Amino acid sequence: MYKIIGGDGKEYGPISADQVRQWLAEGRLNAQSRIQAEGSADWKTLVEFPELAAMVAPPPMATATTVPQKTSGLAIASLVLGILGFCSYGITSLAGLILGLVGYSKIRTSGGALGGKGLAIAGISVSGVTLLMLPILIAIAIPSFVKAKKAAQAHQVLNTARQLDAAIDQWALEKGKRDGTPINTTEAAAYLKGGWKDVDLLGNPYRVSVVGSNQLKISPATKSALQGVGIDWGQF
Amino acid sequence: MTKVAQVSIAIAVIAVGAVLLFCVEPARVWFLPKCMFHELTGMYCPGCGMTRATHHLLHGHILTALHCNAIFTLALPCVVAYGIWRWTGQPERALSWRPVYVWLLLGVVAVFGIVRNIPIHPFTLLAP
Repeated sequence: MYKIIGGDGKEYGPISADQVRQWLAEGRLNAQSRIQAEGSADWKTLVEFPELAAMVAPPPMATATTVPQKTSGLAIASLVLGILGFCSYGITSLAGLILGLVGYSKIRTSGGALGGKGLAIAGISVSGVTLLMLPILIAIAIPSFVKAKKAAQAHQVLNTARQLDAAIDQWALEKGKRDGTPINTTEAAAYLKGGWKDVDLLGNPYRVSVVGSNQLKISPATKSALQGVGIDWGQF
Repeated sequence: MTKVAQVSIAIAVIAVGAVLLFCVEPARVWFLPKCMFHELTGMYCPGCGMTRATHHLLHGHILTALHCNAIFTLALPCVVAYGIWRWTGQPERALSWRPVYVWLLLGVVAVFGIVRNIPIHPFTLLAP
């Protein structure tokens, strides 16, 4: 039960909450009307009573049906980043987790204006799972990273070897050098773009001997340093 | 941050990435991260081949890009168009992303991820 002060400054009541609702609808009361809960000495404005304020403001569901509910972008981003964590070694999951938590709290406090609670929960869960997997993932990632780097280096060493070999072939052909002739790398360099390379990517020398099927070899030191990446050194 | 600043930063980041991906062939360099899912399971995730697809797109090889990652290649023009539309349009014109659309989209992506791992001819075309 409540007591109220009307527009004329007089005290009315006590009246029930239903009566307040009716008077609000009739315009006898508004959001700023002075009102006192029975048993309390404090006069407050009507909106300070949560149970009465709800009568003034249209219920949240009403706004949700008139204005289309927006889905929280943070929730969507969280889920997408969380799923990407499976491919990105969990890096995106950290962002996914934060965005998910922020998004979830924004949805909670938006009073129905923002949707996508399910998306946010899924985003937080997936991000959390991928983050928990992170230590395992790192253990897998580092060797594969090293291996990929080695494989790239091995390809580069092999490519250079092929170019050097082709230059020697060309030089031997044009100068009429027979098999067994010592190779002059200064002359052979003329058949090579970018000059002769004495050493490979790892600083070990390319071994040049005499014209023939074994005229150029990659250093065994390089081969052993770059082993285990599944490269076929072929004739080199 | 103003809208212009945001767009400028976004364009700058995309441009740097595009130049990098134009210059290097993703399969040949070691510094581009490999997909963890693929490393772990040997199967292709729905995102596998996106870097390669971008590389080929930048070189104008649309069919090769489609082969690398069809869903990404098809979605990219839509994403770009949506981005331009969002940045130039009024806020109230923004597409309403109902959660059900997002779930549907994720479903399509998941199905793509499954189908491209089937080792039978028409499906193998979807593997990078």
